[in-house]
Amino acid sequence: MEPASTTLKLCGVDTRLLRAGRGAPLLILQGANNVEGWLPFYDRLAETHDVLLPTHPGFAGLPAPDWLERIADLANFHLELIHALDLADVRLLGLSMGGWAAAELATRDASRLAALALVAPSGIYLPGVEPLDVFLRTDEQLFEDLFHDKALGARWRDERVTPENEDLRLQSKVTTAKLAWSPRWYDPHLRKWLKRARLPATIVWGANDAFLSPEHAQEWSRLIPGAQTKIIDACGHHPSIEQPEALYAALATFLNA
Amino acid sequence: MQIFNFHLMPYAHADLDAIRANGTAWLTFSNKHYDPEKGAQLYHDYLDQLEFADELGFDGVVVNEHHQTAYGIMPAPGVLAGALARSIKKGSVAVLGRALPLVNNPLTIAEEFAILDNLMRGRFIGGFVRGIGVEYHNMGMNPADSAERFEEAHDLIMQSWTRPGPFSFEGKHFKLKYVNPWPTPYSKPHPRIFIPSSGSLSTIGWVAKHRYTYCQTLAPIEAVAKTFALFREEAEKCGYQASDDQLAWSNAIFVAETDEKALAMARPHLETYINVFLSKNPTMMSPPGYSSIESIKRVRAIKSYKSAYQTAEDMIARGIVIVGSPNTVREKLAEYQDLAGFNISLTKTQFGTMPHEMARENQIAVAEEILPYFRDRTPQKKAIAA
Repeated sequence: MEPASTTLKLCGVDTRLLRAGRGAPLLILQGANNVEGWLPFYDRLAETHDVLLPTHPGFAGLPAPDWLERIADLANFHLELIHALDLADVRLLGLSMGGWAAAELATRDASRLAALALVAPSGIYLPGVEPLDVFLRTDEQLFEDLFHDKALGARWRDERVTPENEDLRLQSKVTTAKLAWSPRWYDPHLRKWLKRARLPATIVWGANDAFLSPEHAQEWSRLIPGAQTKIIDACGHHPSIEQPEALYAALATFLNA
Repeated sequence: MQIFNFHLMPYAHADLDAIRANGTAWLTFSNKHYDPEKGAQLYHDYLDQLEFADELGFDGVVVNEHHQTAYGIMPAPGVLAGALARSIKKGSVAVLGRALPLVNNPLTIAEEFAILDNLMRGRFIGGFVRGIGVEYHNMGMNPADSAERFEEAHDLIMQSWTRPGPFSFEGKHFKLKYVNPWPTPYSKPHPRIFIPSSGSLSTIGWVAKHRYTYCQTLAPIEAVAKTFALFREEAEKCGYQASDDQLAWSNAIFVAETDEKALAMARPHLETYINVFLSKNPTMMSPPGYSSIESIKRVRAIKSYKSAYQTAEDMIARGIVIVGSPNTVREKLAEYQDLAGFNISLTKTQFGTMPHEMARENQIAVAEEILPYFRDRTPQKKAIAA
């Protein structure tokens, strides 16, 4: 399925939005490495939903606005997007750093949301569980680190790490560092207010996630009342790429909310 | 020309094979390899060398700041400058420099420098740096804030030295209800300021704008000359002609009776310094946001040669260091001074694994054979083009 691409101006910046499918709106907040763009997995979601995939400001070639200083700014931006598009009953799906932004968003204003799903989200600190220092890894190394199936990682690396997109990758990394360097991958204030996300919530994690340990999943479930946890076997940090079928199954409650 | 004696204070007893196995002496090289018995002796040896430099007639001594590395054990250079402030009787003490963005209250640096300047009755030289890329890893500071924090910290320090307090300072990164440091600097309006840099365009322009002294860190002399020419252009854009005293070249000099002997003696220590102590991986050195995407790519391209082993001969041929007989060293230093047009030399006489006695002999040789010939020498402009 070829998603429709539009550009819209919001909070002083141009935002790219890919959109496909019909049904209740399903907003995806991507991870830091969002040169990935549209994934085959999203086609599956678009069979039953109106899938919206915005590019974060400051990523993948979009200019970084001055106001973008922390993940909470990204959350407020996407709240503005929901209002600008007048979306209601939104399924909010956040992947990795996008999961952090989605959680921040849900604690701020869940009135337009119907359900929340976080796939290997960053955003909280779990004492004694150190995330991999991705800022000391090259893009090539990361494709090995973040996949359980190394051959699959290598295929994605060859496809996605090219000299042509070096500038885009560097720029995404610069914005990521700005938002997540310190505290590293979390906001100490987020965990205090996750209870405000009064939504059907699903936490999904790859059992072999080498970046953020699946130990985080239980902590998220504890912090968001009523959240269910799904651990996907033989899967690294990107279930949407590595185990799309298992991820789809894990999201059943979320999709039918 | 003024010749300062610059010390990096390397942990010279480091297990070199362990550094090689780790890939770098920075960040990830475990401090389990630090032996305080040996380290204590090194501190005393190195401070003795710097005090000796003053007796020998160097124009000043220089310390710097690096964190969590065997490359140099001076994370708190103010402490070492304090140890020297009362024993250095003639020359200056320069801290080149403190890494401003890495602290949460830069006023502490204004205070530290002001004390040193009082102790030395104005013979103190202060330096400000951003800290190198790897220090954003090991000090936990966000590299994306580096440039902003540097400028803001600098402005706060300068205001604290030149504006009567108390006043409040409301920056983006630093917010202080009361700025009113005691003491204020001995020098008025403030101590001499030297800014070391590896040559980034934005820093060159910034130093020229503030009329400070620009110090070029380790680099081949041709690149140094280009950088200094750029500095002069930037100064002209600011409406003045840069003085030769605003340009300092950071180098290493080793003198022995003959070129051959000097090379043989210096080689292991030079090659350890450049290939072992200095080796860092590029990902570590370029944390995202520390510099612009353009300069990340430029630095990657320029530094690609660094992956190869550098021999002492390479470093000498490229004019990164000067090694040789008294005659050779005098000729080269004069040639480089004229080529690049600097009037300050920040000269390391100990580097890498060089032991204390050898460093002292080198200091004596530099003091006797080099210093007197340059005391009154200024850069000789090349023949005027017709």
